[in-house]
Amino acid sequence: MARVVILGAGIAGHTAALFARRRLPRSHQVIVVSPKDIYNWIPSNIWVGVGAMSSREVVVPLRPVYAKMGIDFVQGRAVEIHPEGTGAVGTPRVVVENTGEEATGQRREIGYDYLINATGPKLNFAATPGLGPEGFTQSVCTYEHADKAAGAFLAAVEEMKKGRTQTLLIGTGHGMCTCEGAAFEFVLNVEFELRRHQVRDKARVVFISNEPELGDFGVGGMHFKRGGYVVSSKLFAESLFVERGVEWITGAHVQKVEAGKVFYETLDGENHEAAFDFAMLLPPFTGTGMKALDRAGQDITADLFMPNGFMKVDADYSKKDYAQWKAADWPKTYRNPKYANIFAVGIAFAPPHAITRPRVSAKGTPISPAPPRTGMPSAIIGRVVANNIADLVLGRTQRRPKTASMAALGAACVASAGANWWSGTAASMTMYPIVPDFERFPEYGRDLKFTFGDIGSAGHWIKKILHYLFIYKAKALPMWWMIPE
Amino acid sequence: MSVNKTDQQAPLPTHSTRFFRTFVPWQLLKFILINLKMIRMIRRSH
Ligand SMILES: Cc1cc2nc3c(=O)[nH]c(=O)nc-3n(C[C@H](O)[C@H](O)[C@H](O)COP(=O)(O)OP(=O)(O)OC[C@H]3O[C@@H](n4cnc5c(N)ncnc54)[C@H](O)[C@@H]3O)c2cc1C
Repeated sequence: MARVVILGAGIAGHTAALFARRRLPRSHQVIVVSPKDIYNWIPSNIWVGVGAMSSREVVVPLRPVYAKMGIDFVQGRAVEIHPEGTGAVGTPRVVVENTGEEATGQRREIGYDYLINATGPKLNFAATPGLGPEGFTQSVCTYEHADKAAGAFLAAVEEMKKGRTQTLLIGTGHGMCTCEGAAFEFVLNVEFELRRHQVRDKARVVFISNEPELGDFGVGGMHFKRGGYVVSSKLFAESLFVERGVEWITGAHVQKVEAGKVFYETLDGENHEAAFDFAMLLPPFTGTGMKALDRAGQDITADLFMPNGFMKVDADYSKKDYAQWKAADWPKTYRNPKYANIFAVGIAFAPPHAITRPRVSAKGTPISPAPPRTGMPSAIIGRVVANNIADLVLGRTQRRPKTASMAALGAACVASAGANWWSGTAASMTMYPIVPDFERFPEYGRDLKFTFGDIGSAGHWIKKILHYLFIYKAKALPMWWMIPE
Repeated sequence: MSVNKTDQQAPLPTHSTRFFRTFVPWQLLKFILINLKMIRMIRRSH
């Protein structure tokens, strides 16, 4: 009997757990460890954050799903990995701190044959003083945050209905943030909702981002064919903003937030302040801070994790200049180079470098998007790794492991701009590959046949349908596995 | 705050472009086309 332990029940971990269970006979055990017994379809938090969807609609209770599928669930937070065992026990294990209602804080050890780290990001609000729901700004990174953001947003709408002008500031809360696409989508939804509430004329909507220019999205921007031209995502995004009267600040590192005010530095080294009544600023991400120890109890965290807390996998982590970055630097099988039975999927794996060219301000402050690992690649990587582990468990070692490099995966990004079937629209963008490969596609780094952008209700319908499909899949309802990631 | 307000370089949609963005028959066709494009891209990624 083999035991596969998956840390994290987010998009990557939950997908990995379902596919591992589907491939492995019940004589093998699949265990999921996660601090909450609830799955959150995070992309739809955008709609929760403007009060257009309830948080109940974006979550799935995990226990019934796992009971039905034959997956064991441990409600807890992994805190230590012992890849060589501990003391007299020479088999690998993880230490988990209980987060359930019973015995909260108690620690237990769980042995594993294969370990998948799918712990996603730590939302590092602490990197910017005053940032986050405990400070002066909102977030939509969790469904609880999104609920709170909706309350603050609707309060601002009420103020506008009373005739008071409000400034709404939306974007990234630090120079090294990722996930700019989420902030972009949120600002478009906020603008749509303001019109729906008939208070648009009372609102000043400002987007603030660490991207060097609009439309960068942490992937160095993209190009697509439109109207007989190849246009950049910069023009596409700027057009959307100008049309909607959204102002923007790019190349910005938010240094600190006080009540109603952000302080930020821009790439030219200048310091600025901006006042706001409502702000939703995403935090930067780090790894979740698990430690690794050898059998003697020595700290070997640096063998498993990069300094930013993300896990080392089969990527080329050697320090290189932007000009030397290659598609081949990106991991393919997501296996830890030192411990072959440990894998990391989704946001938890350490990317070899950024995708957007790194920039520092005139004062030397790094202001540059970190590489995104969005839902689609996170889930594909989760599935591929789970299937490869199943092959190992079943002794199918003659099969070559499947690969899922982000330099060979595409991504679809549908940024909804309003949650209404008829008047809502969305900017649908797809790119292939996510990491540009200038050896294969010398001109733009991407295949323009598969990279496109479009705006209209069709995109909104796709986004809404995807919401229901992914919730269906998360519930492991009949034929769930036929729904692509 | 120094912000970029109306970048005149940004192309703005014409009235008809805006109309077609929410014109249901046209969007139904787009819905099919975008889905086909996405399926091709997803196939390539799987
Ligand atoms: C507001 C927002 C909107 C987005 N919209 C889109 C979109 O439209 N399209 C798209 O493709 N992507 C989108 N993304 C990105 C997408 O949500 C992420 O790519 C995806 O969630 C990453 O999956 P993950 O499993 O790596 O991490 P997560 O989904 O964050 O899951 C991590 C899991 O690990 C658990 N965990 C944490 N620490 C531990 C620990 N120590 N031990 C055990 N478990 C732990 C967490 O509780 C969680 O269950 C959006 C992100 C945000 C924030």
